[in-house]
Amino acid sequence: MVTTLVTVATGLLVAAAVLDRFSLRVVALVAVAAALPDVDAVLAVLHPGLHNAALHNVWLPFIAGGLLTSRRVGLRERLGNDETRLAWAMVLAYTVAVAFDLFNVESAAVLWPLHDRFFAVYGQLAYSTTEGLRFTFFELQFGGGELLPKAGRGTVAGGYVVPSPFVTGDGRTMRAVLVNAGWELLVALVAVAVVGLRLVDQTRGES
Amino acid sequence: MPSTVVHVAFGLLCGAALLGVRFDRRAVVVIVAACILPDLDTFTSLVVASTHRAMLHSLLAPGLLALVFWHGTARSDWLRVRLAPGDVPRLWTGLFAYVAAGIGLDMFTALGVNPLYPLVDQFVAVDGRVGYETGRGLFQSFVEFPEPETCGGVNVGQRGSTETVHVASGVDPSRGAEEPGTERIFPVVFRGWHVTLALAGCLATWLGLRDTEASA
Repeated sequence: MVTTLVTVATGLLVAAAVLDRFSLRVVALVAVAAALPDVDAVLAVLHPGLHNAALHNVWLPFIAGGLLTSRRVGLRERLGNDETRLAWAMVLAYTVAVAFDLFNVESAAVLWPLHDRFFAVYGQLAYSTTEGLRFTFFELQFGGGELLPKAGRGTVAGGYVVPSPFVTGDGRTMRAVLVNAGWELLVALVAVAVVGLRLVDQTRGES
Repeated sequence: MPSTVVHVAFGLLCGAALLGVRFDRRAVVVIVAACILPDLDTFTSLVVASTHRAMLHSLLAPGLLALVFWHGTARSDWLRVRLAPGDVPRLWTGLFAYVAAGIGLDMFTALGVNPLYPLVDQFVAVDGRVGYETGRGLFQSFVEFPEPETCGGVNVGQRGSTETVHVASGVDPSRGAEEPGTERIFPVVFRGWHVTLALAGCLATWLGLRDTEASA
């Protein structure tokens, strides 16, 4: 339910925070990384269960992080400092994009294909003067069965499907949402302002 | 609608993104203060009824601050001489966080803010959707125009004045005095996206500070 526009905007904000040097090339690469998870909405044409499963996972950032830190692969030496940082920023942008769908009613199968289960982690953390601390994000269950009974949704194999705009039910109506709520528009506007200011700042500093 | 915790996290994310290598502990203090400041109108609501989301969520508050900063640093230098080196960008970043995170996140969610209080007493909640649908084309529901035959005005999410709208908070749950034993709720996060924004804010702050301190 969080749109690609918002994942790209938030990814760019995180990248701007961790990168010293900012350019249009950086913006483009980070935007691609932040949009990558949502490409599985297109893959859903092959199999409807792949949406929010195929590219929404923790394994890609783990593998990318491993490659970037491994001395044997030596990516760090080959890429140089600036490019390595850019690669890390892209990994972070991707991870934040996945987190948006995991912490949402829409759910994401972040452990797929090793563990086939859609998770939707959402709830409340609040303090009430009459009820005390309230925490309803997940309930761990150690006595066998599912670990996160409240957050667990169906499985890819079991036919659970997160609706994709590219898979049309009646074969005609396609619906693609760019902004789903007010706050999404705000995050997009803020990202445009921040990225613009950073780029202007950078060019002024160089001239 | 997000809690102060989410405001602070989003403000820090914006601040770290804006300042880059200049993001340091002093900037963190300024930004955190700037994001907490608007929510202090939960207390003015106890004195002047229903002014939470109005008194300090009015755009006039950061507008006045901007005038003061501009006068004290650009027009003359009474403020600049009292500041440490590098404080001017920190202050402007704090002001950006005030508007974008402190006021913005409330204005762009369901309950809205009173952006021109006290000049115009009207709560506004900017909320809606934008998208494309076959047959319908591009659609948006942020601004709704009236049907030509009716004489209604343009709807941008007006919700009423402080006379009719009371935005509840743990400090002042309802208009007027509360019964003893009234439930007061102090939320931290209650939407999935609050969690993601809070995590992104923490991540940006940690990595931003780590880099600045490594290069210092």
